[in-house]
Amino acid sequence: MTTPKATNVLAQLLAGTRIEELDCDTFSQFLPAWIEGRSPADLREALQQHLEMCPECEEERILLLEAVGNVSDDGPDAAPDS
Amino acid sequence: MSAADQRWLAALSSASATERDAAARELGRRLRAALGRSFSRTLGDADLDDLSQDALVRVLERVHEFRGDSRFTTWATAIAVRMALGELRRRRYADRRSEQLVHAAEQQLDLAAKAPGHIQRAEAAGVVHEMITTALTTTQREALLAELSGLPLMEIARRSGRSRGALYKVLHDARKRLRAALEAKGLSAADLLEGSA
Repeated sequence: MTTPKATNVLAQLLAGTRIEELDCDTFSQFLPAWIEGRSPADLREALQQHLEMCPECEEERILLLEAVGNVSDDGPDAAPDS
Repeated sequence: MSAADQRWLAALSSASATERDAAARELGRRLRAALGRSFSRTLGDADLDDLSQDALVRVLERVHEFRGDSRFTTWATAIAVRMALGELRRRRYADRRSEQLVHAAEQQLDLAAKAPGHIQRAEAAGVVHEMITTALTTTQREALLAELSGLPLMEIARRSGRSRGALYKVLHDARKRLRAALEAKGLSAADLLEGSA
């Protein structure tokens, strides 16, 4: 008999649970700075832990990295790269 | 805040409508290009056009919230990506009823608690199943079972009318309680996994 998937998902969630965790809204506030390597040093561990616990925020991080790409930004009046 | 960021903010709030509109058009064009890089495999051009325009409106409404922690265009793109991802997830799960998914997840936990031959796993599953059924609040129970059923948090939040942050806190509280209940019985989360004794 296979182990029900819900039980495995729950096991992984419980194993990674900490007393204090950042919620998704707080993580989202810091995501733009996070992908630029400019997030506050005292929050980086908590931000990383949130990514490990939240596959949706991890997916959002990956998509934002793709969206931003390597496009430079010199402001609204500069010639665009793309 | 960089010089480029300051130019964006100045242009988007300019007293000159011509300058303001030109900056908004340029920002909209860049958001459209950004969404194309991430979502062209999953969303069509018409959807991306609409989403980038919706995102532009949202960014312009929230431009006063930009703090300069990142580039302005990264901050704006993050808003656009979140909106597009929300729409994508809503479509993926539109025909999946919450009640059916929650019931399926609850059944799986019940089965695990009764599984023969795996005493410690059955005991652990029994502990969490009982906690979920009797000790969690209704809000915690429904949210947790929805999460275990595979519904994305963004979709659970949308259906329940909560923010993702509020939902995450509900789930975090539920997880802490379940973990504490296991540890009180000398069990751990690992005991729930397939392959444990």
